[in-house]
Amino acid sequence: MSTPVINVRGLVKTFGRTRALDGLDLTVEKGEVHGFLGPNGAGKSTTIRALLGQIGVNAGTASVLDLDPWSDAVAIHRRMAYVPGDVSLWPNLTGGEVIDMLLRMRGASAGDRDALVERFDLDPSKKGRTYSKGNRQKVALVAALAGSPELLLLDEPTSGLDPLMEDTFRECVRERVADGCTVLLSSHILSEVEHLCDRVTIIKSGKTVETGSLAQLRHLSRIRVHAVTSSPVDLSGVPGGADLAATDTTVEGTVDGEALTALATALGRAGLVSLETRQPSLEELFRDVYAHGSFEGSPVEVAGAAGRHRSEPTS
Amino acid sequence: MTAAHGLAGTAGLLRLAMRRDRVMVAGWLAALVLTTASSAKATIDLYGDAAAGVAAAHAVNTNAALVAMYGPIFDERSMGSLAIFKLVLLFGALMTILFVVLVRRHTRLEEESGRADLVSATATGPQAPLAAAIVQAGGLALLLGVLVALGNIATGLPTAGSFAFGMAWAGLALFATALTAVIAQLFSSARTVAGMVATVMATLYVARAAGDATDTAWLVWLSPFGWASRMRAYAGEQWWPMALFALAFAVGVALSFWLRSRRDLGDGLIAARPGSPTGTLTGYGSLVLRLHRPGLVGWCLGLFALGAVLGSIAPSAAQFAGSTEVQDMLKRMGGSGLLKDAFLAIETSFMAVAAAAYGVSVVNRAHTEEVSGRLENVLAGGVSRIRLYAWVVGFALVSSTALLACFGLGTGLAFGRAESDVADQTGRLLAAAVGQSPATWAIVALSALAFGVRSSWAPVGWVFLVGSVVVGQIGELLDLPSWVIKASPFAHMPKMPVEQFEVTGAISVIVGLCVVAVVGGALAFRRRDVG
Repeated sequence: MSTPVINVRGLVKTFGRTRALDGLDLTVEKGEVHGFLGPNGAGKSTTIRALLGQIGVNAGTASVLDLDPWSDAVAIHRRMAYVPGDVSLWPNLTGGEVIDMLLRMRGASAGDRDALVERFDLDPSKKGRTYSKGNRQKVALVAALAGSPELLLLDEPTSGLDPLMEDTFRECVRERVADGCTVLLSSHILSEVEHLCDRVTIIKSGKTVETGSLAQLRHLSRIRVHAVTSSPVDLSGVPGGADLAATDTTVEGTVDGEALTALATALGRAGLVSLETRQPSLEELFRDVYAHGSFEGSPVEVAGAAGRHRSEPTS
Repeated sequence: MTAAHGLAGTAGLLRLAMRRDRVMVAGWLAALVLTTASSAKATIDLYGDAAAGVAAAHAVNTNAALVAMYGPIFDERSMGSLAIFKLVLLFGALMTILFVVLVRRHTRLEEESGRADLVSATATGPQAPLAAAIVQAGGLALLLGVLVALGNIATGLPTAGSFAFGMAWAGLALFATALTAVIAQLFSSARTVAGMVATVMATLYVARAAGDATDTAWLVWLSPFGWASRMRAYAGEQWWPMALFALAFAVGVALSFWLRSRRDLGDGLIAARPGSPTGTLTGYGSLVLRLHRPGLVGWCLGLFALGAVLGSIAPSAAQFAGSTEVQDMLKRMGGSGLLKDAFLAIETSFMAVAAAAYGVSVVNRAHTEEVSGRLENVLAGGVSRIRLYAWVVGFALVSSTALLACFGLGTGLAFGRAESDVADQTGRLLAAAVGQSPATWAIVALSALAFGVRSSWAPVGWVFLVGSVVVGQIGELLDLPSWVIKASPFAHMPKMPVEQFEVTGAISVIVGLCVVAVVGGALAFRRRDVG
């Protein structure tokens, strides 16, 4: 396998007494769309700023396109593009002027700039001060997507976009990826992550919590169980990887893959009346990690609305 | 990191800066060159015969207040010296604002707004924005120096002196550029950067003023304003102070690049302290007070200190013998009376301008709040428009008077101590300072009216303020009609402490117009669109 496009090992960044990044690891392979997830304040934007060479780090190593993000920033930036989540524009420059300037300053050709302006339904002749939040975002997106970058760093790029524009954004990203572009996408919009991303990395408190494909993450996660038996269940034979509440003839909770067999045996002995098991939805999965820092050992609510959130994974 | 990488993209950023600033820079340059040339021409026309010019120059030099404010005239027989004596330092100080604005705008403000995030993700090096700002401001400094020199030459003044004057301005502009570049690395807040630069420049001006008034050479040479005046334009030019400017510029620029390499994008080297985790603000009034507290405290302390310096050097003004020319000049500038009082009266009237500037900045802060959308939040939170307007304008009016009081207290305590009469002098000079309030209110009220009618008109207050000052300084020279000169509210203030405070017709009219403007602004603010 070729070297990863982004390779981060043990990154540490402190702001005063705060450890914004605390040994973070991140690997993004060539040609993939990599989801970068985590609760607010987890260090996503700090990581991206470090990858852009905007901030120096205290410890750890990082490489982007095989180069050092701090000392080779200019060389890296010629080959990539970035969209922040909160775009601020020059009040007296038009959107079109800003797009062309950003492309030129990257040394990129205009590429399909005009087509993108059209697709994002952007009026490039308006001045920066008159754009709404969503339109400022579009300006940065067009500038980033035009000119065929090898790498896209997207930090909540669709905040403020309407659903149709989100669809356009997804199409455009897929087209870029088909051309060989690599994407790091930080987002809180889980449907976006699920539609676009091959793999995801979830971070919390500046540390990497989980990384892998969505299917892998689901397997790591516990299975939701709801069972009714004809006689009281003896759960003493079920090993540690379970968090179950038994009331008389009802058992509910979560088990990991290893404890599942033991639970099934215990339930069988008590005489099964009904048994529901279910993979967690993506949203439950993230909620678990965001709230508890891992899939393991977390008390999971088995909501009455189980399974309503979304369908089973497609991958 | 190699220097080449750090500076990559500087040319592109320079083009961006020139594109953004073309109107502003062209306007400033034109205004500065025209003001300078027309004021020089007017002086030459006014003192057609040399004797009158010599007498006027002598009168200036024998008045410590004027020497403190404008610097000395080195050659009383030189028409050029007389023509530029108000321009070279006092207008020079105002001129440097352009360069502070430019450097701050393209460095710290870009980082604060987040636009630097977009730019730094392109193929631009981390030092490029700073380099572009310095090249732009430095280039304009030299251009301005050449243009004002050519303007003066066009009015018939000698070439060498005109270039000395131009280079003195260029030197001040380069100094302001380098100073702003350094201070912009220290603080993450653009507002703090502006405040710190203004404080340093004002301190350097006061150091030069105190040095000139008391004939203390080291104070003069401490300050770039001292260097500028010692280039002795039209009075046996000295060129070597240019080396001091060049040295200061080089050191400042190198220091700013070094500091930039030691910090992250968006951060300051001096970290912002964390604030209170809980809030005690109870309404819009307390929000206004909280937002302005740091700035107001700084201004109060600054004006108090300035007052103390001027109050303590006032007695030395009496050392100068009172010739008839001096008496004439003092009648014009500060009213008749004791020399010391006249000195204080002139300085006090200048402080009315500073206090008005603060008031205008308060009103303009509300405009900034509105543009950024924060005002909408307040109005959506149940604060009525009238209440909001009343707090902004009320605070602007009261705080400008409070600043005058701080200055009066400073002069009073220091002068009283020097004269061993603290109680009386404090009361007298406090009253003298506060007595200038109607003029500051007029400027603030007009600003409030403009803000009330349309948010983007709030800067009209600055135009009115600068216009009043310029007209007051050189209106007579330019032979402007008297109604133009009288449009400045400062022209109508009593020359306290020389004169007594009296509610003259003019003052009643000014206060009446203030009320009309403030109420009119309130009514307009209730009707207009917000945001």
